[in-house]
Amino acid sequence: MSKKTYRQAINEGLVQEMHRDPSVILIGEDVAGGAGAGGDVDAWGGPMAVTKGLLSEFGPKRVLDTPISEAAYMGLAIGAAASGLRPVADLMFNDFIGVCFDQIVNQAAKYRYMYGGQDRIPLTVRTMIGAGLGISSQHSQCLYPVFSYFAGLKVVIPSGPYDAKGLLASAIRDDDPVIFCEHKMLYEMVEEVPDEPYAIPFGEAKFVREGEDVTIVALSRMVHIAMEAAESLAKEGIGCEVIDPRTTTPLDTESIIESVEETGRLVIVDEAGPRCGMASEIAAVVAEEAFSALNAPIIKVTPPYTPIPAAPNLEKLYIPDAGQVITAVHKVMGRE
Amino acid sequence: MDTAQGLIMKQSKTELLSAYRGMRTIRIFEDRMHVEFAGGGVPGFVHLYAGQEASAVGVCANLTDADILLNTHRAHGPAIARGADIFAVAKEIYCRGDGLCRGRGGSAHLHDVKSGLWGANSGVGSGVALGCGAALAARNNETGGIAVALVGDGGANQGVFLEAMNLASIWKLPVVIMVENNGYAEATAADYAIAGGDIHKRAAAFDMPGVVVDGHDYFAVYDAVLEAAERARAGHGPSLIEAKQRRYYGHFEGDAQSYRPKGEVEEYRKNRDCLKQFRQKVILDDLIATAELDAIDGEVGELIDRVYADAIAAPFPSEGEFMQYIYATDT
Amino acid sequence: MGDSNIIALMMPKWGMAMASGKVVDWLVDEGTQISVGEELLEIETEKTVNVLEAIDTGTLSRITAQSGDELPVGALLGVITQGGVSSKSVEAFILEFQERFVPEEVSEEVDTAPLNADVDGLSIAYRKYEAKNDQGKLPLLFIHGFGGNQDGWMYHAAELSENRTVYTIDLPGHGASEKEVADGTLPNLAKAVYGLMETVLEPRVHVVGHSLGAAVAVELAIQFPYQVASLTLISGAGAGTSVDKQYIEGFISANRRKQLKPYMQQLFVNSELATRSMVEDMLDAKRIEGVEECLRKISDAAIISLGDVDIRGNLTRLTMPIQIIWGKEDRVASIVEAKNLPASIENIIVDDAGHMVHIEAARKVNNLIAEFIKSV
Repeated sequence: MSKKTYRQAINEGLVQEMHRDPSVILIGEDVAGGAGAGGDVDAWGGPMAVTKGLLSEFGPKRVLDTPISEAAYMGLAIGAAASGLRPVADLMFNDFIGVCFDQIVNQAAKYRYMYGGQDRIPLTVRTMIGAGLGISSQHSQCLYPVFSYFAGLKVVIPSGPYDAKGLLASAIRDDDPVIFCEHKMLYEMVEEVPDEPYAIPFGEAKFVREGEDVTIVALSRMVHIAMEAAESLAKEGIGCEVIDPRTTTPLDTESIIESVEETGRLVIVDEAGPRCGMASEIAAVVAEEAFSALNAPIIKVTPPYTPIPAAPNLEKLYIPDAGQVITAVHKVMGRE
Repeated sequence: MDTAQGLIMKQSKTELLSAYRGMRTIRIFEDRMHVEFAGGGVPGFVHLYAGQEASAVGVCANLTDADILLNTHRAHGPAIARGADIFAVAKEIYCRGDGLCRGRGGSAHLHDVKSGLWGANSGVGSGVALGCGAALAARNNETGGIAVALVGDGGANQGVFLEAMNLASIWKLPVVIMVENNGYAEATAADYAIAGGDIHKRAAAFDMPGVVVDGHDYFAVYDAVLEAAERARAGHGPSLIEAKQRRYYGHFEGDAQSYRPKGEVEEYRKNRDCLKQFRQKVILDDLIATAELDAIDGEVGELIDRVYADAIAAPFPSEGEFMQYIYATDT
Repeated sequence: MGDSNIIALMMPKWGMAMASGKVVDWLVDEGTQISVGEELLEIETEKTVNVLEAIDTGTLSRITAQSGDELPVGALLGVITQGGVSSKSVEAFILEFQERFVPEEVSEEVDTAPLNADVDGLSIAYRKYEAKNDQGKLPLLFIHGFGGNQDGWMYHAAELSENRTVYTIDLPGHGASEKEVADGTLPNLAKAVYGLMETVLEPRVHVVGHSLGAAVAVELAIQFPYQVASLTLISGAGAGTSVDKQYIEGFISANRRKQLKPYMQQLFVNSELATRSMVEDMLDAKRIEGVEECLRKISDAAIISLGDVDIRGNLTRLTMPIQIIWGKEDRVASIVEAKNLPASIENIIVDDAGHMVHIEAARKVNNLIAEFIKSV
């Protein structure tokens, strides 16, 4: 056990899984960085240096830099997965899904079902989500609700180093396509992470904080925003239960409902847009299955319905903050 | 083993008989499907392969069990040519419970892992990318296998097709890209939609061999695929073959085909038909007797009758299994 | 009329990581006459819910912390008075206490990672609690039970290190020790403990073992009788009690909260003590690669196969002082064998406690350990 960043935890998880199973390969743009360029052959390890060192350790047969051709290498990764390899395909920013959407949602997600269960597609797609770097609308979205729409995919949104490493192991070992969403603002977050490999099962929400007054379901980076709000609310005597679903497919609705049945109030904090998202989905599930337990309307804390701006002041307005969460909790507590 | 002579000496008589049987089987199967579809009872869309038989059969004659054939949405012919159980093929087209894909895929998604037949695919062009993955895995695992991706002239205009050609070339993947240019992407002519008119010329831009062959000539297809497959197996990378051909029916059944020039199909049927060409060649060269070929025609006719009777009588998938096969854990 | 006195009842510190606790419920009313050992209130920490017992006799004159209050360690919970004390004096006392009270700065590093030592090529984790007031007494070594780790001694180790050094250890395959148990037999586990004593601890110690740890302690005492000054066996699997095999199997294979929770509840009389975070901590520990395999090996070699063996015979062969503490309502290892033990053995059965008697009645068990060792 030692303190590791989110970046280190993911890197360590990849290294351990690649040692554990020789069929695990890494494919993507600049996963090594520097292919054919004449300088360092392991120059980048991805733009955030998450896969740094893997080329040196595992060689070019298992760590493959691709051209900027998401459709081709994603299709290739699916084909390789259907052939028994366990590719980890790096879709640098989840916003780039647009150029390989067909491969992920029409090929990977349907492969097993449409062909009557003949195949397993043990593919992991690692991809960065989230705003905060001031890099505007095409590099900052949270598209896990889009992935979560498609039956056949599994979707993982680790909110910290411990979960990232354990969920990544599960993703790579899983026999279905998994979209693994890394929030780019979390790479420097530090936490105790076991040195040994470990796998966290999908569909098991984490009770980050227990409390009896309000349930706050928060996703990915928003877990930390919710915790900031919860600590502050505790000083007012309001006990918030903060739940991190950890995976959106499968979604642990049981734990959310169990908590709402105890607290009677629900606030959902999501960095994805306000429409057709996980916040809407979770609100719908709770309204359907635990309506009688609710003492107040459900409140969603999400960004507004807008593309993401680059200007720091506008981007700050976009991302939900603890103040908004506190306001929402006050509202469901009837303390406006 | 009685080896055939001249141009066709690469194949034994047994292989030639098998190729003929394959093409005849597809022809009768598809002609019958045309009739059955018009009579109702076949769900969904069907895209018939009649006319193009030499293409799939010429490809498959070069494949081993270690190889993967990537199918297109015009899926029946290649599935039969690759050796998938024809009863299961028909049942899948009829969406029956014990069809090839348990009724989940239908006509356009025939897929049979145990025959090395993958991904009849409605996302045209994707097969080339998937095939690159199969090829990469074959190379990493040293199976000796190659991937042959079928793609139409329509699919050849997809970005993924061009991206995958590039990737296959820079990584020297053991892939053969078989473009079945049947002249029409749905209702739009290849002459209109393909810049320069020739898909095989694109190969040069991706630093791989590109050839064009008569897709109605079994022997021409066979030879071109043989060379490309050998190149792939030797680790020299991908090749592209453009086999020009025509379908005898519409894009899908029910297509009135008013976009096609009058007399086009009749001309192909009369003067270019792959079965006619094949018969002429083997009979003229005295390799196979007319009676032997006629006997095959008779046997195939009877087989297809049984295949259709069986498929029509088979039950639809059990509704209790509706949600099965979404995830690997669903069993 | 005796001396009058005002005593502050404060938020206890249970374990190194504890910075604050939450008042769950008062078990006595204001104005009640209380005596030592009486249960006063339930306090919830991050790890569990525990009862604070009175360490003084007197009147609970004032309750200053209400149910639901989250308070730092050392904060005032109530006031106990002895003899005649005016309510004015009590008010003044409270006022002064609250004015002076500064919560202890909790450093980030307070929950220090355990130390690791190389024992015959195996990495074994342990913690050392230096004696606050070293009187040269023999140290005390705690050995946890099956599937647990040394954090389970959070209520005991620090508290008992007043006069002597206390060590806790993670058995092989557990906690931060290497996930390698060879064949998983008791002699092998005992060898690792002895190896650690020889390498970095001290050659002669008092040993406290819980459950499997008790069995290991007995094995250690048989192999190295001089090194073990005394034995305290808690929920003594070491005494050859019949173990619930279904519990063992269920505990090993559970990898989700819902699966594990009933087994964690089985450990306590009051199943609410098995909190969600306790279950999650256990799952986190069990997930580590190699742990399940180690547990299975130990289960096969040291628990299931010995579960029906009465090893009271072993105890009679030992000459060092032995005490055995049982939770009367233990639902994991039955206490039927608490009967017919040699008269030389201190045999204590604690009411209203289960397999985790040392957690459920922490203060009582601490007192028993302290008194017992003092008497040795």
